[in-house]
Amino acid sequence: MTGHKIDSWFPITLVSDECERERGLGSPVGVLPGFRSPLALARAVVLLSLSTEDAEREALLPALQPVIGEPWRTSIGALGEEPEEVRVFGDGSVALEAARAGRRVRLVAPDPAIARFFEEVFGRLLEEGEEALEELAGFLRQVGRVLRRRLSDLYGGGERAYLWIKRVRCPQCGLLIPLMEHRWIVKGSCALRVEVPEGGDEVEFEVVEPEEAGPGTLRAGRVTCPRCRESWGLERVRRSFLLRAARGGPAGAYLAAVVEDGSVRSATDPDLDRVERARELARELGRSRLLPCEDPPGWLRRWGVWDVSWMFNSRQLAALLEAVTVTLNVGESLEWCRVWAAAVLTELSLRNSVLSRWDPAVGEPGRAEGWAWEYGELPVPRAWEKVSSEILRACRELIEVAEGVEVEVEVADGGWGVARDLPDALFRAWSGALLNAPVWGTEGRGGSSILGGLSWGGRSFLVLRSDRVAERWMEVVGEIVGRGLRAASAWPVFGENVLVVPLVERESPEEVDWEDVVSEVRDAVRRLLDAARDLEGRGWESVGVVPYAAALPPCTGLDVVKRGGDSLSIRQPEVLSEVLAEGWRELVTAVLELLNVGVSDPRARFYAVYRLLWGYRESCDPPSRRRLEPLLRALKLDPDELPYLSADGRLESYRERRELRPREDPVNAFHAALLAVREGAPESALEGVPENVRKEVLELARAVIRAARRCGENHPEVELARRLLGVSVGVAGR
Amino acid sequence: MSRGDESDVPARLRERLCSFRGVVLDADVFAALVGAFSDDLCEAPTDNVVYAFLLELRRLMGERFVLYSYEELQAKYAEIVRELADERVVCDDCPASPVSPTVRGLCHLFRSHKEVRVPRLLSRSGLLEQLERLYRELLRAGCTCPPEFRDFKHDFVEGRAGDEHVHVANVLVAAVKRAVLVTSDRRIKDVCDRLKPGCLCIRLDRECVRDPTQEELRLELAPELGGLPSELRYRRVAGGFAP
Repeated sequence: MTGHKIDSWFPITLVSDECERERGLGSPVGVLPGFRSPLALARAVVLLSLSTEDAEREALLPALQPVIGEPWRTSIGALGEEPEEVRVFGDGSVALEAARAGRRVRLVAPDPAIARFFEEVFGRLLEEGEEALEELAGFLRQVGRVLRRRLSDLYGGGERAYLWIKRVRCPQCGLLIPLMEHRWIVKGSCALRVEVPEGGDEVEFEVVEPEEAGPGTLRAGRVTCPRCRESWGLERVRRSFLLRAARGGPAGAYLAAVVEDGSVRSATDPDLDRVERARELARELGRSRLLPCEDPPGWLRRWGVWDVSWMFNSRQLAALLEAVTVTLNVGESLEWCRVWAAAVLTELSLRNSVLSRWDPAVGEPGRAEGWAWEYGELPVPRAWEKVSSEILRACRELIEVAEGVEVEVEVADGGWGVARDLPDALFRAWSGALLNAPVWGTEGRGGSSILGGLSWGGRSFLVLRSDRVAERWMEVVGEIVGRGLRAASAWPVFGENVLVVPLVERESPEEVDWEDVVSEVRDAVRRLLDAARDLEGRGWESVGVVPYAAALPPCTGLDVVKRGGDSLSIRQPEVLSEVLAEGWRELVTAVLELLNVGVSDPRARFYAVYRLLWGYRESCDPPSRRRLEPLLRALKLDPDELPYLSADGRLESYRERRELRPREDPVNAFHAALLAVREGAPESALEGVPENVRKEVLELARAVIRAARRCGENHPEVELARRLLGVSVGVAGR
Repeated sequence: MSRGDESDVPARLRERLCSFRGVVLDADVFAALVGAFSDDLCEAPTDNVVYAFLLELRRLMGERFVLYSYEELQAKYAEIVRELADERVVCDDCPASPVSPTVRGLCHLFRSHKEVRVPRLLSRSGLLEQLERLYRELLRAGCTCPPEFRDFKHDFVEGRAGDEHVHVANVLVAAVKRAVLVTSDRRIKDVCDRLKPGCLCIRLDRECVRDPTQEELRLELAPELGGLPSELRYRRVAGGFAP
């Protein structure tokens, strides 16, 4: 069988940059359900999969990294005619690019709701073009007009966004503590001051000048009560949310501020009255069959959000349900437009939910990506108009770039399962309310790691979500091998959280020496990491997928390895883990070389690599312990013997440390030294520390500083590390 | 996704800047920099907002801050240095002299620079069609140079490239190299807005470039990037950016 370019070459840096450029410029597919990859990534996968291995790189580059024009307007250009037809699964972006490359495409969607949407995009929209678009625009406008009229009681006149802050009850004094990472409403111009009552259980907020605001209540993975100073870990807060959800109530929140056109103010009684009215309406509408019901992704259930309808506060839910009612009334004669209304509601839900993190740079909520303490709410009529116009713009772009493409859509009947993320769950929920869409074809697909892919003949090319590959390593290997395939290679795309994997049919593999496997994995780690050498500020977390990319080809391509006279099946869990650990070991070495530091103690090495890959993560979910296991294994570390590694995978900085012994542990010694520097006794920072540990501490300080510089992070620990190094240089000089 | 406190403009700007590889400075911006040195040779300038901005740009871009230059651009820089510094105040023993002669203090910016061969870049077959389109747009915008792209190329090969050639080549080099193009020319910014080349055009307010002693520098970004306003202000004293 002829090889394909992607088997041996994938310009990682170039594709990563182009994906980022596409996102920066506002990709049209970013607002369309089912279009999972940036078109720059989809184009690279299609182009390099369709090109033969002898294709000239120079000839491929213009399509991969165009000199002018938006990335989504770039065409693949002339390619050979074989194969005439390809099968694309899961991802509308890959289908679009394959069709633009002149292929007949069968697009397999595992979810009937998404399949229906794809039919509208690749059928009616692209066939009828402007005519369909005008009809759709008229429909969305009309819904918007009715919404403005019907929801006027729920919002004030010129309001643009509402800042809500989740709260939790202090177990000590009973205060409902606002969970705030910072005090900003609009960065640099106004902030919040929290008035804490001596009695009572609710705080009050005042909008103040930036210099008048104090710190947030969340810091370094802990919440501190502003009244009694009781402090506890965020894991306990999460459990309290879970418990509250089990009792039937979502997490409570304060309405802290209202952003109007041109001004910011505290919430007033009329604001709270409107919220109360919305609560009544939500209760009423919630009894209807229109309530969106769908399982959210697993990470949300961990926070007590057990259904997507729990992603909204009362007013958000009431307004969205009203939008469903209006859509059904307006769209009685235009049923096809309801699919698009579901797309608008999906995007609207992502920007207007209790997960839509407040963005103080712009003074409004961002798109839901993870858990949020401070969230924003948007007036739905206004937001409906904005999202509608973005979706219409996306449609217009598609009509322009996808002229004459042929895509036939079908619902999956087996085959590769496709990952189900939050936008999928929301789209399904809103489709259910608007179209009565049937349920997913196959149970349990939500956990799949596949974002999309394409295949023809005996070849398949997958785009995998790298975080899921990391968490389900054995299953991913098992699924590929179970289909009689092996990974010819595997390519991470930095900043995109994906792994591109070309698959070929398995032949009968020979027995290979363990040393050869190790050497192959190590070489691959070095090769792949070359693309990350000048990675600055972004994408470091995705470097953590490099060991998986390096280990995937041997783990799927070989059966038996010879080690010390024994023949071992490579797919025994122990052996698979060991292959992966070899990759991690090499990654650790290479990354420390990149930082140009000489830490040798495995605990210090772990600390340095963690800081480079995952930073200080005070505001985000830390990597799970499951994700950290291979790294710990590679360094032969027992997580229970690392007091600075918490159960949820968070690595404590010097600020959270209580017990700093034994000082033979260089991380303990490092933290103790930083505390001494902070307390104004830098000369004593390394007193009594054994010489070998002292050396490790100083190298670790260098590693932390350099890692932060690469990631663009600023943390007090880094500043103290700088001062520690300065002091040590001074002492050495004396 | 976000790390630490990334919700402010400088952090976003940094994130965006780090997806570009290198910087191209146009001659006017270079002149503004050199102007700051002409009085006090070998002293770091204290009152030059353009210089302060470029140092900040270098800090934000980290190792990606590499200045691209080519023969004709260097000649232009050298000419500016001669005009403004009148040879007497030129520092000849500059440790890194991409423009020769240059002024000490600019070394901070020019320490890492890469030379580009424009004729080679213009003859890359895969890029030709797109470069021609970009060239035509620049021509239409009034950035005068030969009406035919092939003549433009030919002039570089023959060593006959003039000021206008340099002006246009800056954009082409930045687009191909995925660099940040720092200019004060509105026409170039408009072309970048319209055509969306692979570079990021930062247009500095012409008044600030003419008089870099001001405290504040107004700048525009083209094309517009998500999460960032299209116009920013850089304050020398505060050392930061604001919308």
